Amino acid sequence: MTKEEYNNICDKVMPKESHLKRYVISFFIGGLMGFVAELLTNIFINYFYLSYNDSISLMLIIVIFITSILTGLGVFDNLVEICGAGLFIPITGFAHSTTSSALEYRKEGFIFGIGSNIFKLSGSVILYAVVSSFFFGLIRYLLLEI
Amino acid sequence: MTLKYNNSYINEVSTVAGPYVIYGPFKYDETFTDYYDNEETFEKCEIKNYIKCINILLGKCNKSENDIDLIISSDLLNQLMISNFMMNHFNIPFFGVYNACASFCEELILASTLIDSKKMNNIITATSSNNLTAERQYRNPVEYGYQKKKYQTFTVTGSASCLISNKKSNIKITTATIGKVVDFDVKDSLNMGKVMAPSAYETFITHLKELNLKPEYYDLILTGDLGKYGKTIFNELFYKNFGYYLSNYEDSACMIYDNNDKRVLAGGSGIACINLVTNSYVIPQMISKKYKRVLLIATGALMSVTSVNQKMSIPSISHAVSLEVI
Amino acid sequence: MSYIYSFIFAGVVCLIAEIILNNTNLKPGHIICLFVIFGSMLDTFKIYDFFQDNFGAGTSIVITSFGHLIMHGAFLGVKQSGFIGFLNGFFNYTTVGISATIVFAFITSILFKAKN
Repeated sequence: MTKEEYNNICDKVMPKESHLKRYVISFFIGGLMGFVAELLTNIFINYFYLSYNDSISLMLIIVIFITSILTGLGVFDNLVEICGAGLFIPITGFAHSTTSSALEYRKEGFIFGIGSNIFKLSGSVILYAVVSSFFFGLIRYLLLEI
Repeated sequence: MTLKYNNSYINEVSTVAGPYVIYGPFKYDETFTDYYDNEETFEKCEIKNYIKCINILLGKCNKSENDIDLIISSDLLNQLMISNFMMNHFNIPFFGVYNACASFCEELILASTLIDSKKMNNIITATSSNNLTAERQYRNPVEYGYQKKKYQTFTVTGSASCLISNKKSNIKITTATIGKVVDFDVKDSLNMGKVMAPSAYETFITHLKELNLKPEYYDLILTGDLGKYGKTIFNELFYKNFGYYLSNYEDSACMIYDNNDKRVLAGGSGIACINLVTNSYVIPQMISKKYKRVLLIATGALMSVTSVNQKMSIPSISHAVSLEVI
Repeated sequence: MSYIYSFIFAGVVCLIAEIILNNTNLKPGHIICLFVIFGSMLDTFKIYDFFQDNFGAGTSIVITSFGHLIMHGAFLGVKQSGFIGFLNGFFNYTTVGISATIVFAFITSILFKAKN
């Protein structure tokens, strides 16, 4: 039996996942996150008289705080299982993966446990944000600033 | 490679089952409901319950540590960590073996060979797995959430052990086939059924050919942990070559959990899966003479974190052992 | 009105991510990185600024804004001290996300235990 024949058999057997339901859920949950962000920001601007940038920062801090606590309580992983991209594309995904790594490696000590592994999953986000910004920034600097 | 044995018997078995498994259809000697079970870490909990399992076995067969010639043990963690620490508590010679989830049959084969060669009399084979320790080693941190696929399997939490001896009992180990590594270039580490089905089939066919048997010779053919879809693949492979479907074929992954539980996805996996089903279902059924001849095919996916991260394929292996009532 | 724009923007970004996730072999980690790169790419020609001005805070909560903010920090640095400020300013704006995450993750890991 060749690889192709085997793959054909498997393709017939493997279950079809319902994509549409996932698309609807992640659009709706993602949208909800955007809505909440806008709501919080507006509250901070209108009732606490903060500047736009400060309100955004405070909003991010609150969202990250809630995500971390829910991850610690063991609720957030079940939510991500259902909502998918709706929860890992907003900043919640970054906070969730960082917190789950920290919780995981807590037993291995503060320095070589949490310290070494806290960015195990989310470190790549920072890496590629910096590297891509460096190259795209160079392009922009050369094209637009000079 | 098929071996025949004349005087190797399964004398006594013991099981300890953890969360999710306890909601399944079978009865176990001891259960625990919490992944910590009053210990600090998941690993310590697994070690504690593994020790409990061996102690239950020793108690059941009324033997002291001095009567046991050897323990052959296996688990899923790196460097067989759980087995090593379990053996800290026993004053018994120890072999650690690893063939991923195929270790159960590997242990039976090794034990039977040692007993059949009259070098040893009493050997304990033991396996243990734990959902969270395995999950964290092979995949993601415990609290990390991601959308699961329907074909994913859910590692079994529990441990099981058997006493293999030359003293006559109802259940005799008659033949065994040692499998070869099969690799169909599957790279998806979540799709264990697809990885392991061909090796289970390969070993099954080799077993039939070398002993000149028909599949109907066995009352039950039980594969290790292929899961719902792996079971279908196995059936399809058989159909492709023989033109009909096996009626006496079951997969332990589909039996161990409560079938209505959506959280376990395609079924169980892990080293203790087939061992728990064998000890808590097959052997009692054999003693009550419902099954006379049973073929166990334990399947294992030989992956490591490094090989998966380096995008290498996942080889698989299966060993078969046949049990008979006498 | 800005609520609806925020809703739609964040929803569409998540929808695109979900579509990529379901039709390729990429994992969530890959997609997050892809979107961060995408964010800084969009900022090269100030497209993301346009989004941010029109669609409200929905643009700030998705991970694409991470790349965008680093670019912004870099060019704030450029404004202050020329080309040397370019690398110096990378974390001008993003520090709030990163430091809040680190602090809360650390505190959570001390207060809680991994469950299952």
